[in-house]
Amino acid sequence: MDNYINLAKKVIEKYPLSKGNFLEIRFFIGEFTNINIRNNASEQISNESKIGVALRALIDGAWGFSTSKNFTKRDLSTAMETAISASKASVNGLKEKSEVPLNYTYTGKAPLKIKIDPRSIPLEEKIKVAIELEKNIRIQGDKIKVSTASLTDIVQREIIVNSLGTEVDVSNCYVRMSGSGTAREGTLIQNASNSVGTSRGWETITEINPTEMGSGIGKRAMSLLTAQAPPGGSMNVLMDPTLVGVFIHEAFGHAIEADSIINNMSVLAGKVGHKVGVEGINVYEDPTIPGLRGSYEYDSEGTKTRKRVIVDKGVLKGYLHSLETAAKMGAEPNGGGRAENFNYKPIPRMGVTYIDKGDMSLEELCQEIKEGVYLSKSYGGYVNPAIGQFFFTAQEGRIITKGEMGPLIQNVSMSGLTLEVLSNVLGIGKDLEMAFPGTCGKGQSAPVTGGGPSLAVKNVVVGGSR
Amino acid sequence: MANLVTLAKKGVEYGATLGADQVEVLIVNEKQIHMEIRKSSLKGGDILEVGGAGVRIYIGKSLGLASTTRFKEINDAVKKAYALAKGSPEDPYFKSLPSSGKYRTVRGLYDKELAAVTFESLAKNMMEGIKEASLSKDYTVSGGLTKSIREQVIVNSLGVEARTRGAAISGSIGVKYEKGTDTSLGYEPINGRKLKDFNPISTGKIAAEKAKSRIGAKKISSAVMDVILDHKSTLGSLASFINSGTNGLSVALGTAFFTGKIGEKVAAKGITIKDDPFVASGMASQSFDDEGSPSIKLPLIEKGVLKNYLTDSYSANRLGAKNNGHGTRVSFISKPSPSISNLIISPGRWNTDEIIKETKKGILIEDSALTLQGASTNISRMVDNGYYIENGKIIHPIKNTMVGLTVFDAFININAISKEIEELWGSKTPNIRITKAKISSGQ
Repeated sequence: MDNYINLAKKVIEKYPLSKGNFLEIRFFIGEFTNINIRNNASEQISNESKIGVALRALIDGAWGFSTSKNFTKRDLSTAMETAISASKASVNGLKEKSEVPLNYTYTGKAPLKIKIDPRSIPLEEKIKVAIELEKNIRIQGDKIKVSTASLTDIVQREIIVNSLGTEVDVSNCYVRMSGSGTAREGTLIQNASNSVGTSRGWETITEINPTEMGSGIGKRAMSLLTAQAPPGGSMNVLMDPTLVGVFIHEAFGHAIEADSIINNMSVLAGKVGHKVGVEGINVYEDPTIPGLRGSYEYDSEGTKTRKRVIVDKGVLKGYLHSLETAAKMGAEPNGGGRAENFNYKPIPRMGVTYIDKGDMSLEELCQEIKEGVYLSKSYGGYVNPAIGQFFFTAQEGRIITKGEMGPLIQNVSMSGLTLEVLSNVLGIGKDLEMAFPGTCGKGQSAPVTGGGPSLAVKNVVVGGSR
Repeated sequence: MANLVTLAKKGVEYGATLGADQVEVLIVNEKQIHMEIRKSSLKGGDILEVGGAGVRIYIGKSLGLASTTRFKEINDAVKKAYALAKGSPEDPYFKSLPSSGKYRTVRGLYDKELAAVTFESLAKNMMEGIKEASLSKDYTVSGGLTKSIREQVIVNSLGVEARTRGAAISGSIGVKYEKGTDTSLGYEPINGRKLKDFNPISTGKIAAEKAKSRIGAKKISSAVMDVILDHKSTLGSLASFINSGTNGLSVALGTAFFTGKIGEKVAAKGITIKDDPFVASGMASQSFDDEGSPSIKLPLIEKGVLKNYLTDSYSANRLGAKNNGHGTRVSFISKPSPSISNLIISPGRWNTDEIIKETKKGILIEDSALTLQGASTNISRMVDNGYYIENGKIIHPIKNTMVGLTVFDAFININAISKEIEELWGSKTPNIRITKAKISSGQ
């Protein structure tokens, strides 16, 4: 660690800075392994080595960014000069200066907190687990045309040094296993999938029963072949915790990332202190919960992260900040500046976003819905925070009639409006679960978790075909 | 830096000395300059060199893949791929990587003027476009622009030795318009391979006009009605459907929705679609695909009848079909999979105005795509930008609205195709109308 930090400090020291100017060097060393088994054969067994350095300069209010794949003082100096020249070249078009807070520096080390390093597991053992998962999806019926199992482990280290004095060395490990089954009968094709993902080590996989996980996926894919086509229209919807995880991420989470706030591209700009949901709604962003996919101790700018209260009793409380957005808004940095790797700049991102639990059982929520649909197992979604319109998809669902669960329905998507949806909540379940380990895309990818309890919401637009 | 072909050849030779049966090394080196504009202000610039090398090694029918972001570590990646192939289960369907072929030249992929233009010059032009889009204080303008000079080299142990170089510019201008408590968005992309075609003033103007026209969006009543897709939405939707429905690998697996339908009617009679990788200056134009197989023009649907599937070497071998050079990689890290290059849809006989005029009840979708979720045949998508049409007239913009139908109906129920064709970055598409879609909205 000291070698990297000393090297970075020596490079930064070469460039005298006026007050407000800022330099940053971030080393990134990552190793990724992926095992992918499809239909009883190897689809892909791969290893990726991602090693490089990201260099940022903020000179007279303009940002410059460059990278280096080599770690010598000479290479880093050349790359830093490129970053400085990029920022200087931008000054002519500058109408509003960027800034970073001058009074926050962080030092610390966050080594891997894992029991079993996935890099120590022999390839054969990883392949064996993936084969077991895939097999148990496939054997659930002849109509399963494609069965896949994927096992990914990522171990990465970021060393961040900046001209204000931040010196942070942070390592993260992400392990994920997912399976998918595609069933076909005639022209009807349906898919079911499931995944488990954490920021823990190989112990994640040892705690999973691939036989059960696989058979669950395969059975669901088969059963969807006899499910009804989904209905369309504005209706009452009951969502399971995986869907709620994506729902809160898309419907609300992106709109509280402070880059969209300072750029006037969020419907939640200027809404802190305003009522945005029913009294019972509490939303948190907490990457400090240990072991979840999306948990971390320091962000890619070296800021120590913490639990952030987003919505308290239906009232909006705050945003997710990078150094830049915190400075612009006069807020304290809260560790939201994340970057995928050295080719990307840190931007405000979510880590672990969830709605807190209420006190209703699934049966009570069904009664609350009366007529509508129960939707479950997320596929993901997207949002346009500037107009607050979001979209997300369920793998399956059930019709709810007279407060009772009815027949199975196929995959369907939904859309809603950020400023309406939390006010349309009819009931909050007591079954809180950090249920959706996913990957968020915002020009660059970030491992995240979304969660919550089962949630009943009125007037959701469901995009079915009948 | 050493010549990339030499580097790739050395990697292939090293793989052979380790004992690999087949070796492929792909190297990508891309120089980028990038700028970001937020709230009408240039935020800064990036000057980057991105890329790396991907290695595929087969020992018998077992595959190992490895990649590195550092060219000096290509042999390490070869070693890792070899070790992974040794431990990997066999793929019984694998036959061979492609062998060498003849490549046709594509014009206009490398414009020297674009390659030479500076950050300062691009930024100056871009800011003129931003100014054009800033009609008043109610307009918030943002944008981004990337110029890239990309070199890609593919060498394999069966004689493939392919090198391509291209320059491209891509980005967008986006406008948020606020009127009272109402908000709308307009967005116009920038994509091209010629500096003389870079016209951010026009881009900014279009983006601002779109934002202005979309203010006052309303929910509508849910009903079955027509859907009109503009040129960009036709491109986004049909390219996505074609990639899912005719992907040779998915056909071999039985999950492409057009599996077993060659020679059958799958679309309305007026629909003729082909893939043309040789469009001059096209963003996706290419002489060879991402595993070095020669690209070819390929008819996909002719007068509603399915003609071909998209294949790469693996899916072609698996199907017992010809490799038609559609292997596409997301990055140097990934394995190829069949995908379209430039989507060319033949014009119809309608004027676009007539299509709208003769729509009793429907929606017009702009700048969006109706896409599928995984292998499912259900289309269930939010309308990002759209208008409600009644009795042949555009009534108002819409929000919180979704389209639901099956992909089979989307092809068969096309009942109007415009005469006007727009060339979009190499692809050529008309406006089309699809009947009998379930439109769900919040009213």
